[in-house]
Amino acid sequence: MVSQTTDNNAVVATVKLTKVFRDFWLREKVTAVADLDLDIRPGEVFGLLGPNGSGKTTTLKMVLGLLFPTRGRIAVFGRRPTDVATKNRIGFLPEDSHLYPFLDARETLDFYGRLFHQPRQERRRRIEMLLDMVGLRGVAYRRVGEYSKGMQRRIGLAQALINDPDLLILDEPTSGMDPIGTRQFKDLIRLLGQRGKTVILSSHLLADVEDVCERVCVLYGGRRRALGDVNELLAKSELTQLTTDQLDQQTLEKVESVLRDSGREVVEVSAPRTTLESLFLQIVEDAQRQRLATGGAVSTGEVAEFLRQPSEGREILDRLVAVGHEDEEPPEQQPAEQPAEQPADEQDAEQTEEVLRELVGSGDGDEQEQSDEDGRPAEPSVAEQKHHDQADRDVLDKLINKPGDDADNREGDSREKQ
Amino acid sequence: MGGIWAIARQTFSQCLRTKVAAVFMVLLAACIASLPFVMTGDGTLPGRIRTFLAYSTGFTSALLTLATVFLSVGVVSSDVERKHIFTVASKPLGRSQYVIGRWLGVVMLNVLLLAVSAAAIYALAQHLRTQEAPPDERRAVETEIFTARARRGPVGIEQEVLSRVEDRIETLHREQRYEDNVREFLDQADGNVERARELLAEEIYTQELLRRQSVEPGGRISWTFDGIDVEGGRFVGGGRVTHVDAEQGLARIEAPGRLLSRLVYRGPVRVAGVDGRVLGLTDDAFLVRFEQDEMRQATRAGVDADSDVEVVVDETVQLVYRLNPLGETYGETLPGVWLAQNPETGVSGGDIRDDAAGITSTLTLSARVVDEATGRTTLWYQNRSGFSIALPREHLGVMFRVGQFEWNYLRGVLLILLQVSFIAAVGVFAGTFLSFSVGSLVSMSVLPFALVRGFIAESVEIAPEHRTIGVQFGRVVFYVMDQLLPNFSRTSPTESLVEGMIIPWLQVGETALWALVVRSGLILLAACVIFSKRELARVQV
Repeated sequence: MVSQTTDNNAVVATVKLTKVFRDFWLREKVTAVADLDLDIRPGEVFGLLGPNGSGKTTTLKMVLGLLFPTRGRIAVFGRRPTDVATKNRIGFLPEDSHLYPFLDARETLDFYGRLFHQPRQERRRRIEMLLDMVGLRGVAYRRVGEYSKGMQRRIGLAQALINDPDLLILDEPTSGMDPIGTRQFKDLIRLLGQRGKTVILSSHLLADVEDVCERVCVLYGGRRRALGDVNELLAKSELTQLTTDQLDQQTLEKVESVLRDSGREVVEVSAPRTTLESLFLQIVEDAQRQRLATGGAVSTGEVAEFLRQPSEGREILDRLVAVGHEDEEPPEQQPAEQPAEQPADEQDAEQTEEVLRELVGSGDGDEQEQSDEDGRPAEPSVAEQKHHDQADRDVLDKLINKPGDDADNREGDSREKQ
Repeated sequence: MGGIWAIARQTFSQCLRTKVAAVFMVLLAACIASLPFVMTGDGTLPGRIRTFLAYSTGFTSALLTLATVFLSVGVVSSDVERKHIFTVASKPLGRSQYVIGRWLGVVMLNVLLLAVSAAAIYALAQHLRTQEAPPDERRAVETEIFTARARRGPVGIEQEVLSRVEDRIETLHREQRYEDNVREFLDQADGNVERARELLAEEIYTQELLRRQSVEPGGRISWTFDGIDVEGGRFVGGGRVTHVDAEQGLARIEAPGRLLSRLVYRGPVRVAGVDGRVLGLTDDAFLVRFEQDEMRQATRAGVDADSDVEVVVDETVQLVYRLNPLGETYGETLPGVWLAQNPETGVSGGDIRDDAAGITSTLTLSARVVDEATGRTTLWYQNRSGFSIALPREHLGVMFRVGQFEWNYLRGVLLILLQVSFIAAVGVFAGTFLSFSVGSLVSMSVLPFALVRGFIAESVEIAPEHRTIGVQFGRVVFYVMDQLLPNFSRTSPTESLVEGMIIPWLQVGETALWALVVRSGLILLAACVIFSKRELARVQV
């Protein structure tokens, strides 16, 4: 037992964690991690960021007991990282999957399932569900060594989930993955987070981390450079962004004039673009709908199918994830659950609302479609959303001159599609 | 235990799917299958079978040992080098469980490979057993190879010789020539009188031993054997006499196959209570030879043409000997008479032989020449050649059946399994902290100590005056290795199987205890400790 940590409830806690690699003659070669203090709380999706060689993977290896700290302390669920019983609660996907190439997908999952002493029937049930989930059922008979890197990541994720872990550690999970797989990965991480699982995500793909993580730690040279809530770290509290249907020049001038009257300036007016990810997914979807032949793309197709039916994915996850989380709030409620972490101060929010009220014009919910394709919600979290939803809708209705649409429902839809 | 079993299963399937195991099986299959056809031995059937058994078991053992080295080092070191250990070690599996599971998996593979090879060797040996061969060779095949025999050497020689040494020294004292004789050894003993006396006694002992164990032309010599505990009893059956030649002492008797299968060429048989010797065997009859007195007894007992007689086949013992003429024989054979007698009942058996010099010969005798209670028999040899002949005790023995070939063979296979299980422990141990190449090298360096210990032991036995610091260091290394590693040259089953000698369960148990439980256990314990203390994410090169 590690007696002292900074937070007794932390899933992972490190105190002055330091790792120095030495050569054969015990001379110091490199300090991979230096004086790292971290508290990763239950139920959060935590991002470990940093460039190559910044100490992310070394930190994860110490969390898993694969490396021993040179100095400092580390506790996982309040115990030493080498504690065997603790491993029952951990799932780990290493950077390069590192699976046995001579086993097929089913044998791979069976092997790891056995290490958790799972009864045969339960093991088989989970294996089939996981194969469905990661879209490899159709190629489960093939040896893992024959898989593409992306497919290996998928089976790697499945092995990390076989024990329904309370702590999921993912090292560069989306490296080598196609956009569909990446999207699926992110959805899964979000869902697991919503179900109370703790996820540690190490990556230098910032967009992935931004999409799914609630808190991040940025490392450089083994030292912590930033730690905090993603929204807090990224928010530009001095700006407000509006997204509407395309505006003609006249309306645009009208908006500008309203803003000028209240002492604000338009910083940028542009037509939003869809993302390459959305475009890609759309093309693949269309191709599959037309049943176009592709060499070895069967699994990708299945994943796409799975991604198009998110409820099915959730159903599988519901069954996989331990009983006891049924009473949690539905996923679309999640962003609204963080009022305490909102960075904008009360004054700014009121001022913004005032300006919006002034912008009397037309309103339609279609802008939510745009924000969805960006992969992020249209940032309403600056204000206390629940209280101001109705006021915002009124303002938008007036601005766009199209009153009557139920924007609330659309918002819900857009979140579900994420 | 579940974790160990999961790792063991995975190791087993990993080894089966890697090319090392496949290459091993192909090589072994090719060699074992071709051996019976390319190995001719001394041209006789027993020679062919012996050569086949020797090469096939030796080859299997050597190849399996090599394969085990590579597999056992590889299964652990490659996991670390290829980082498979990251996913395995992040599961609820103790590192010791991992190490033991890996070892168990390799042993399981050894069991499979050994079972397949052993079955193939057995099947081919049985195939050879059925080959056409002269009766004499067939007898040797049945009584000297496909059996499990124990051996007893002559007893009492040591005391006899020591007593003669004492007598001679006493005589020298009496004749006041003792001190003169001691003086002759003073130079050799560097002036040390005590040492010179010892050297004199040793010289007298050597002379007396040679005298005790050699026989002049026309002379006689005798030995006593005991502890001959013959297993099994006699087989009683019936036959019909079809022809009798009283002058030649011959009778032809038809008998059922069950009885005929127990007779061996030149082996003993009792017809109507009279001892004879089998001189011929066919599918439905045998030819028995009686000595003069016995022929008369047989006639009296009703051995006559067209009569039914009782036939008793007694268990047999084999007298094994090698005649060493003191002088060059230039290819001449050495005629002589052998006779063994039961000291209690007086039942005797023997033969007149004409043996080649320096070749081991076998004489099959009825077990009735051995006293059942004490297992004692007395043996005489009369030298009818023109040479003095030495018959040292290590070249003289009585062999007797104590078990079946099949069980003996199984014990032999178990010994090989114990051997490779130990090697697997060494390999896994090396794999826990060394890379594949270095680990394989270290494990291979252990093999000479385990396999040819006797040879190394001889080479480090250097006279005291030549003991330099380097030599002393070598001796220390040898001593440590001697204590750490089992001596497989002593426990190898090949020689026993080839000679049809028993491999006692005691030997298997003893080997299991020391090689497997103690030594493999200690090595695996060390492997577990090292692996538990090791940072698995740091690759060793």
